[in-house]
Parts: sequence; structure tokens; C-alpha cells
Amino acid sequence: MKKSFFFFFLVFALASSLLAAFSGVGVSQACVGRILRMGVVDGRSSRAVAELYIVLIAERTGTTAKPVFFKNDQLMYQAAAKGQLDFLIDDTEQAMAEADAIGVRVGRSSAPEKTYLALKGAFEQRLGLIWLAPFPMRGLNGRSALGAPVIRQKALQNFPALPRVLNMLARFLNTGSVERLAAQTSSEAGLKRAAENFLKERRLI
Amino acid sequence: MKMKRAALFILLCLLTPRPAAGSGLIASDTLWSGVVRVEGKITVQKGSTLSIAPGTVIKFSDKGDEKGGLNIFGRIVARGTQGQRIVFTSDKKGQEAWDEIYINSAGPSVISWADFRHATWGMHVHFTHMEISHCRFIGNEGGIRFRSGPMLIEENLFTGNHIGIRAYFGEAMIRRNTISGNNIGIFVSQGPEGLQISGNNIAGNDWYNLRIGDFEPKPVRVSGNWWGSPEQSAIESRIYDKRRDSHVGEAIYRPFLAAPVENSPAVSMPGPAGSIIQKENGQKEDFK
Repeated sequence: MKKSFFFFFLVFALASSLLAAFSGVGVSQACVGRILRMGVVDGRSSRAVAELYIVLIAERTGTTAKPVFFKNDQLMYQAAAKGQLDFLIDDTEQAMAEADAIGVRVGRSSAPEKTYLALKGAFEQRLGLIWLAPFPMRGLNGRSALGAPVIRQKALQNFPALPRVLNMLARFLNTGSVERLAAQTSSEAGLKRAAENFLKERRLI
Repeated sequence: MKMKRAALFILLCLLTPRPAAGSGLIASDTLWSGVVRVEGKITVQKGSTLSIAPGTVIKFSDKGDEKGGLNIFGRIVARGTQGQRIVFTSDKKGQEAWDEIYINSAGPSVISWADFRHATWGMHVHFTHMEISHCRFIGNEGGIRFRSGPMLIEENLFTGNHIGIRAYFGEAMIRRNTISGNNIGIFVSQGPEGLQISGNNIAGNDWYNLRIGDFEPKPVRVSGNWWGSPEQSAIESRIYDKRRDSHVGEAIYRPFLAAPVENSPAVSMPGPAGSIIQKENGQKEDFK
């Protein structure tokens, strides 16, 4: 009996290992081409803006931009400081709200344009981050703000033409267009289609 | 004794060759034939060859969040015939229903007389000596994207895709293909030096027959192709290059062919003097 049990156990072990070998989970492979990592503070509008940049970059350059979503600015800038992001999307209200935590102290102005210029200068000097062409949007608490892509100086070495591509979008974005785009869609696939249509209508792709 | 028999029966069942299906790893030389259903990704490990017999139909479907596809790190040898094409398609109808055949640093591989339909990218190849001939890429997000090589892409048909071929620092001979009815025929994203693109029909693509990526400032040599018209202005209207954007490289497309390449896969596309060339055998087929 003991012998039979041992034999059964042996067969069972062999069968299990065979099953494991042939039914392993597929290995997901990332492209070995260059990938841009884009930081975004999670939110409906910011996801819509992020999708526009993803599609714009892919269609114009053939390069993949992967979004990385964060709960707040502080976490996003920590990731940027560690070199985990090539660029990020931010706005003046959000950046001001967490400027202390980020490590950049800037005086607030009632005009978003002045705040933008103050942030641009401070971020470039202290953090090696460059604010690109801004666009109007609604910031925290519904206040007027300027959104913009913010690129790491080091990323410019690998992607010197990236600012030119990112800056193409600024003049087509405003509070209304971003909110309309965000409201149009509830699914990821729907958002991608809406972003493609938005860019195509404006002859950006 | 009964227990022993039961155990032997279980072992026998598990060792009996099963239809090539499911997801997981291929760790030894394997031959597929008939209809093969793939759920999620199957990975061909280095040192192993996946051979696919003529007439085989491979149907991909999702496994949870994972789209169907193949990862090839060993080799793939899929030689169909004119009468018995190999088909890579979705188990469901619709765009982007399956992912791609991803080949990275694999052994010398061949795919011929095969059809790719409803893929995100039919083929995605990096650093692999690869021959792709007599294939049809129809109704995919993209046909072939590749980096490095060397690649031979010969006598294939690309139609109904968003992008026919996309090259990134590619090393490839691309000849006698018909690339028509896509949004973008050929997209050279960066690194055009290793590309030889000549003797193709690249015509009738909706957005551009040739698109040079915004990150590429160097010239791209694409002479000796048929562009759907013998008129320079008409040719240039379907090429995105330095003439449209001074930051982007120039397409060197002259000298160009004054008529379509014969003996390349035929499809409805612009011919000389505004004529339309019909698909092979005059048959109608819904490529989308």
C-alpha cells in the first residue's frame, strides 16, 4: 500500500510539473524601442490631456509615450527627480498648491501667466525641469490656471525635438476643449478615438 | 493496484499530445497545423523553433487582460504556399482584437504566404534576421514594425491598415510590395540609413504614402518606386517630409517609376493617367 501511495505521489508530482511547464502565464514583452514616460496627476481632465499627448507623439514620431498616474504633484515630482519620468503634465494651480512639498517656493500672482513665468524660472533653475508652451485650463477649486508639459532637461538629450512636438498642441487647448474631450468619453478606447479625432480635425496628425 | 492504474492513466492523459492551444511556453521544437487557438500570449523560448504548416489557421483571443499573440525568442518558420496560405487572425471580428507576433533577438526566421488580419501589429520585429514574403497584411492597426534586422520584406500586400510598415533604425530590403489603401503607407520614424526601399507600389494611401517622423531630420532614400502618379506635384502631395516641415528630413524619391511594378501583389490603386488598377483576378474582396 505504501509503495502504491509513493508511486501515485511520484506520478502526481511529475504531472504537476508538466502542467506548470506548459500552462505558464504568457510573458508580456515591452518594446525595446525608445519609450517616453509621462507623469500625470490622475483626474478626468488630466487623463484626456494625457491621451492627446500620447496620440500626438505616436502619430508624429512613431515613439510610444506611456502614462504613469500619480495621486498628487509631490509623488509625481519625486518620480521625476529619480529619473523615472521623461516629462509630465502639470498646471500652475496644482504646482503652487504643493510647491513647498516639491521644494520650490514661488510667490503667487493673481494672473496665471505671471505664476507660470515664476514657476518656469524656479523649476528650471532648481529642479532641471522646463515648462513648455502653456494652455488655459481649470485648476484646483475651479480657479483659472495654465497647464503645460514639463520636460526634464536630461530627457532633451535623448529627445531634442520633443519640445517642438509637445508645443504644437498648446494653441488648440483651452478650458472648454479639454472639458468637452473629458466629458465625451468613459472608456479608454473611447478616449483614444476622441483624442485621434481632436488631433485630426486640427490637422495635427 | 487500482491506484497504480489510475496514476498511470492520469500520466498517460497528460503526456498525450494535445492540440496546440492555450497559452504558455514552447520550450522545444513544435509543429502547428490545422486550426490553432491561442489564448493570451505564447512564448517560444530561445533554442526552440515553432514551425507552422501550410494551411494552418491561428486564431488569437484574450486571456483576461492579456491580448492574444506570440513572443518569439527562438525561431519561427511559417511557410505557407500559394494554394494553402497560413492565416493569423482573431477569434473575434474587429480591429485590435489580438496583439502581435513579437520577435526579439530571435534566430533566423521566415514567414511566407501568410495572411495577417485584425492585429494591433501583424509583426513587431527587433534585431532578427527575418524574411517576410508573399504575405497579406489586411485590416490591422499596423502591418510590420521593426528595428534593426536584417529584414527582407518582399512581394507582400499591405492594405486597410492604419500604417503599412514602420521602421525605427531599421536595416531592411523592402521591394516589390504593394502598399495601398492604408492611412500611412510607410512610416520612417528614425534612422533611415539602413533602409533600401525600391521597386514597390506605394500609392493610394489616405494620409500619406510616406511619412517621415518628426524626430528624423536626415534624408530618406526612396527612389525607384511607383507613387500612384508620374507627376511630381501629385507624388509630393502624399509625402510628409521637409517640403511640409523644415525640421523633418527630405524624401529622395527621384528617380521614380512611371508605372506600377508588375508581378507585385495587386490591389485597387492609382495607376498611370488617373486609371485604377484592379485587384488580382478581378475579384472583389472586403479588405476592411
